[in-house]
Amino acid sequence: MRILRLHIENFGKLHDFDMEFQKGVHIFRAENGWGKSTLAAFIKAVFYGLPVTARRSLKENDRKRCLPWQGGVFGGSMEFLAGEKAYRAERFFGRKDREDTFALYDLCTGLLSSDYSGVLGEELFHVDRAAYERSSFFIQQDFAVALNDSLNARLTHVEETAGDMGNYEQAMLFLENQMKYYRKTGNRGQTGKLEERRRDLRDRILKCREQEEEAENWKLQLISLKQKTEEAADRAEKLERMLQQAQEHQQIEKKRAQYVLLKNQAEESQEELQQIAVKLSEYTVVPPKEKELDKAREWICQLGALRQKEAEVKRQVQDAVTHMGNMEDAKDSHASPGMLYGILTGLCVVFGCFGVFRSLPLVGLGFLGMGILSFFAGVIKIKRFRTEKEQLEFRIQESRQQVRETERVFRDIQKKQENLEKKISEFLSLPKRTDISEMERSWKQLRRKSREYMELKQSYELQRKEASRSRTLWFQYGEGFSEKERMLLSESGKAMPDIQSLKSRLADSRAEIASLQEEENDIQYRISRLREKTERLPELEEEEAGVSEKIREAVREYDLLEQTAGYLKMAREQFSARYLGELQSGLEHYLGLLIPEQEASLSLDVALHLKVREAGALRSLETQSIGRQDLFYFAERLAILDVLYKKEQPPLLLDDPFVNLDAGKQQRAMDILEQLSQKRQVIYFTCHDMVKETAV
Amino acid sequence: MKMIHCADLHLGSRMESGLPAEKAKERRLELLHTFVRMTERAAEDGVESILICGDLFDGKTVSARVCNCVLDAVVQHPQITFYCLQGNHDQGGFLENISGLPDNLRTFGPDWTFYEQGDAVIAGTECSAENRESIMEHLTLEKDRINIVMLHGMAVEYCAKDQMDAFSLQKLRGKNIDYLALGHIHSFRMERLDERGVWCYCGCLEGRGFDECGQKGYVELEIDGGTVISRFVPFARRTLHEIPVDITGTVKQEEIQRRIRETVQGIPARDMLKIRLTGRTVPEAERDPAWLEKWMEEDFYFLKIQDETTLLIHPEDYRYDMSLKGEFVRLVLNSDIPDEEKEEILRRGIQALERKG
Repeated sequence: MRILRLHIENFGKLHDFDMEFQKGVHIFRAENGWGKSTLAAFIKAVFYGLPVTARRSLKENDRKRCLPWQGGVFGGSMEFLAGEKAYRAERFFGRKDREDTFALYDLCTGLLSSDYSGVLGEELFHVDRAAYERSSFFIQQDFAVALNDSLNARLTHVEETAGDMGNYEQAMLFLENQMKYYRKTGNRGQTGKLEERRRDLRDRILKCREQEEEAENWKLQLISLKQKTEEAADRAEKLERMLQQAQEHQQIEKKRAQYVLLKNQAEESQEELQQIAVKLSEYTVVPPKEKELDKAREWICQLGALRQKEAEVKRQVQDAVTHMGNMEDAKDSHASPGMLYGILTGLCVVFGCFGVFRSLPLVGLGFLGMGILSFFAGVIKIKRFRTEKEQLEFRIQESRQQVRETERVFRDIQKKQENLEKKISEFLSLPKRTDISEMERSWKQLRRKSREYMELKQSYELQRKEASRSRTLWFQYGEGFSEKERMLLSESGKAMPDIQSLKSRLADSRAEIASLQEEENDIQYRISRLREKTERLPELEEEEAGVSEKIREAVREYDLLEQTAGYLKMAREQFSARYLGELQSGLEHYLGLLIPEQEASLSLDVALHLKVREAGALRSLETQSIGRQDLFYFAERLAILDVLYKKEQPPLLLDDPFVNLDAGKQQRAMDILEQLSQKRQVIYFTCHDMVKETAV
Repeated sequence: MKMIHCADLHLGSRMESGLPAEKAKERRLELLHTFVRMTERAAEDGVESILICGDLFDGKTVSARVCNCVLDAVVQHPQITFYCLQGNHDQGGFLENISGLPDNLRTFGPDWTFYEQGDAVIAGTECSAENRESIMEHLTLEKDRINIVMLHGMAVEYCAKDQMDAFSLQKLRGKNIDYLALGHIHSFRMERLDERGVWCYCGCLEGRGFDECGQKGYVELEIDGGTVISRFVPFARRTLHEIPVDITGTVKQEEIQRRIRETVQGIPARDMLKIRLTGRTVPEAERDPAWLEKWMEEDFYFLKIQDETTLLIHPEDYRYDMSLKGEFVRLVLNSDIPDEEKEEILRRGIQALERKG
């Protein structure tokens, strides 16, 4: 690969700048501050573009550093040969990478070419920007820094190419420390702690699960127990039903007995009624009633009385007639007392007057008084006599009347007697003029008959009522039965278990239920206790899940760190193995060219650290002079270039790298560059006259 | 008549979001409290019934506290009828532990069970591997009634044999269903079943993990004049968000934090966030999710940061890199290990090599 020419529109301080490059070593001399580094940066930018970085430092931020000072279009073009073809690459930049443009033209056709893309440098040289910078790009100030800093840092670009080799041990240590955080010997570390915690949690979860299982088992037992309780309840219900049936049956039997009793009673009553009816039917003639008998009795009594009265009236008539005769006799014989009292009064008056006139006034007065009294007594007596006579006459009249009356009564009595006798004879079926006693006897017989009849009749009536009542009771009792009772009544003779036995079995069954329920309660209590214990299960599971997740993360992290360390180690080995041999021989080759008079034995380790073998020992480059160090590093870098670029050789850009070399060594270095320019373009920037200027 | 359709509450379950123990405990209580809040809201709004379409609990073992709390919520609202269908997670747990079901709690079995609620008929069955083929054939609903059907499982057009928790929508078409209330999927989804009805997953009531992001709640049904009007009601105490934040171009933690803050602006502080850092970062970029979580822990109830960034590294950049780093990168890139691991190894290796001091 060779750069033919370039044109810069605006890039840093460079503006509308053109440059052509010759074959071989192209030396470009300009004073400090001209813009050699900007020019070198432009060449790099055409190959690799400008990186986007947030870094504020201009040194670290090329895009910022190379912004055109005077503004305008930012970028330019470069013509180059690659393979057999010539191209022109145009690259312009914006403030951001998306504003950047890149175009490649085939110089033969003048058309756009797609042979290479925006990552031109990588496609041409197969190295990235950093590797390019650190191998082909020898910037003077970087050397200066290196020179002023340390020997290792001076080796920059080679070392930094494998620069992270220096960080390998540190990186490995960091990774190992991180791994140790997760896992230490003896299963210590974060993973161990987490695993311990998880074991504890799992134990507790297991215990909870066992308790849960226990609760499930208890629940199964509870279900079985409930089933048993239900069975026992069924049995008890069955027994209750049987007991109820037995009791119903007993009741029915009682009812049946009552029914039969009532039926029998009704039938017996009916039979008795029939018997009484038969007896009653034996009476062809209905005996007189008591009232009639009483009447007959009354008649008999009346007849007896009439007969007595008849005799008495007869006797009265006789007596009255006699008495009337006597009264008439008495009337006739009865004298008036007037005469007597007249005589007496006259005597008294005579004696009175006599006394009075005979000087016995008192006696005379007495007699006169007596005479007066006798007079008055006589008057009274006559009056009474007359009254008595009148009364006697009245009584006679009365007696006559009475006799007549009595005779009439007698006749009436006789008449009544006849009537009564007729009635009685008819009633008692006796002949007339039967003796009263006979009548009485007949009447008594009749009355006995009548009473017997009445009693029978009464009895019949009572019995009829009784029969009716019994029958009603019987029927009513029968009608009071339910359909079921009727059905049960019809099932006669069905054997029923003993009620006492049923009651006993029912009590046993209820006791069994109570016992089972007690057991159920006990199991319920156990289940609830176990549930309380397992209530924390979700929390434990959550924590276990969290810890497991952390363990997974820790294990994964450890695994990743382990793999990272493994790959890092493998990378170092491969990296070392790939380049070390070639580097070593290249280094020796270039050292032989640079210092032919002195055979320097250099050793290159996998970290690309150079050591000088002197007096049988490997010594650090710090033991060498700065000029020798520059030579060694220059040789190492050239060796690296040979190793890095197998196909397209990028132009080697050097910015006064040999200022620390003496003239002889500088010449040899330039000779080497001349040799190198046979196969790759060498562009050498310098501000010293000692190097031959070839082009501006 | 109003109804609430909810499902997949998974009360008492473990939290999958990576919450710390205390917050996980608090969150479990919040799940329970949201259920109780829902019943209270239902009572205030005059809701007559709550349809719980499975997975009310998370397993067979239900803690006494959770069990009692749910029972109390049921008992305290006798005016609301709770229709509780068991799902694949809570079969045989809760109901077996209750000695006597409250009058207003109605359950279902392996066969179709029908309940009448006002003008509506609520039918439901607990699908299993055994009955899922045949049970749909046996569903008969009257044309002139409002028919609501409750099921728990994966609704698919055609049921494959190995889909044990699935049932065929095809078999439910033309069955006079007005509203097919479903449970099993934890996000709200509603689609037309046939000309007459719709099928609807109400989603879960609260998100438990970052696979359950977005608004969560229940579906309110209003039956009016022979039609069922449904609307999704967001009801979760906290919403879970999974937010990707592209941190390409950032290098420092502060830049990443600023990028995150810009992205999550407007999200309530009570919510739970999972930030996925995406994009491509240079190996030198400072990425410490744990440090970022700590830095922003006060901003949200819970914040989790997951680094999913890829390494901004071009293999071609290193193809010709003559350095240990280049060798290392090439070696790793050419290895057979998975790409994700490659990136991690490269990041660690490069960072280790470029460590200063």
